[in-house]
Amino acid sequence: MEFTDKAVKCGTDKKGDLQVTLEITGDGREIEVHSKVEKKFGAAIRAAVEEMLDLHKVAAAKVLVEDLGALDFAVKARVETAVKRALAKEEK
Amino acid sequence: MNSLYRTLLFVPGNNPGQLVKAEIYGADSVIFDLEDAVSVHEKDAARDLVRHYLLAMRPDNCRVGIRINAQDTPYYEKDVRAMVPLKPDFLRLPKSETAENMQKLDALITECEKKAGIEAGSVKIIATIETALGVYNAFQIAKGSPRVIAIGLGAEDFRTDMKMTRSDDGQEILFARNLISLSAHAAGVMPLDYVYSNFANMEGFTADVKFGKMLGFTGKSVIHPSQVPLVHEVYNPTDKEIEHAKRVVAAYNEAMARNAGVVALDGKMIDMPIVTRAKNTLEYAKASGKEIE
Repeated sequence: MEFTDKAVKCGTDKKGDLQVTLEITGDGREIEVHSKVEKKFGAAIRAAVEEMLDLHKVAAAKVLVEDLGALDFAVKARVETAVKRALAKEEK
Repeated sequence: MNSLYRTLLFVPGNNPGQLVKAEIYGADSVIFDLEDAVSVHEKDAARDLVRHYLLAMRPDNCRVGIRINAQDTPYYEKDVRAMVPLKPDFLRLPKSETAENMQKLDALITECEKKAGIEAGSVKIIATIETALGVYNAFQIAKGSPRVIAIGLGAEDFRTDMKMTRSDDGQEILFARNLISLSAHAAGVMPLDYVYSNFANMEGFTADVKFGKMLGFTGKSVIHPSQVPLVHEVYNPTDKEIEHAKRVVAAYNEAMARNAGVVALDGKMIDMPIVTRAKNTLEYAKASGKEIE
């Protein structure tokens, strides 16, 4: 997944956390998940990303999730922070 | 959950792994830290992380507190507005220097409680005092708002503000500890002892906790899980102390029943402060989980 300098990041590379790279675009949602437990939790991670994008009414974005075994609350939190940062960057 | 504040364990607010583990160490309160443990670039992320954590898996075996950022920072108001709707048991305010600091925080909490539909007065305040001015005003801070339930010393910043030289046994902060304990008791709030940051030195830590208890502190802020059981051990009354307290109270009750003016136990006169201390010991023992008949 390729990003421009409009992209923002959130999270860390510590165990139990995740790193989110997010860019607001004009063309639908694209979500990529890298996780050792993708088979088991990939759908839940994607659902958490969608939920946060919906919450902030972001219709089009590219989101890369690099998961290190994060729980659902952490996925939602990191994505929400990334969305807010991206929206703030857009406003500037 | 007990009614004690023996231990208040600080947990970094921007670390999901540590948030999840916070409740397993048996501390009476956990304090999710949005201040010193979080870099200025990650304040927003920590706020979101703590909020989602509490919404999803709030601990139910201990009190929940949040250390917000100080009032002279751009993060303070956002912290309060984000945290109060989660109904933490208390917010811990660093750099508390005046009664006005408490009144300002009280007003903002009141506004947020109203907006969130939370019962007025639910969210309490613990003031951290860490400057010369703050220590000087400790009593006024403790009386600054009815929400204030405790005051505590932030020793490292206090040393810096006072241009002190740091000693191993903390002689230089003795006066501040005394004044904070005195002010808290005078104001009817809890005095909380400072963080002993060298958590590898368990011997020094234990001696420090014992000394703090001797000065009148009712609990201690801690930064490492290994410090929790040691503080509880020091603050919990021993079986011998409980037994003595029971005998004091029994002797007092018996003297009252026969209208005796003087209460004596084992040939020694017992006056009211001794009876009060004995009753406190029994209440403390009961709250810490000991069976008191």
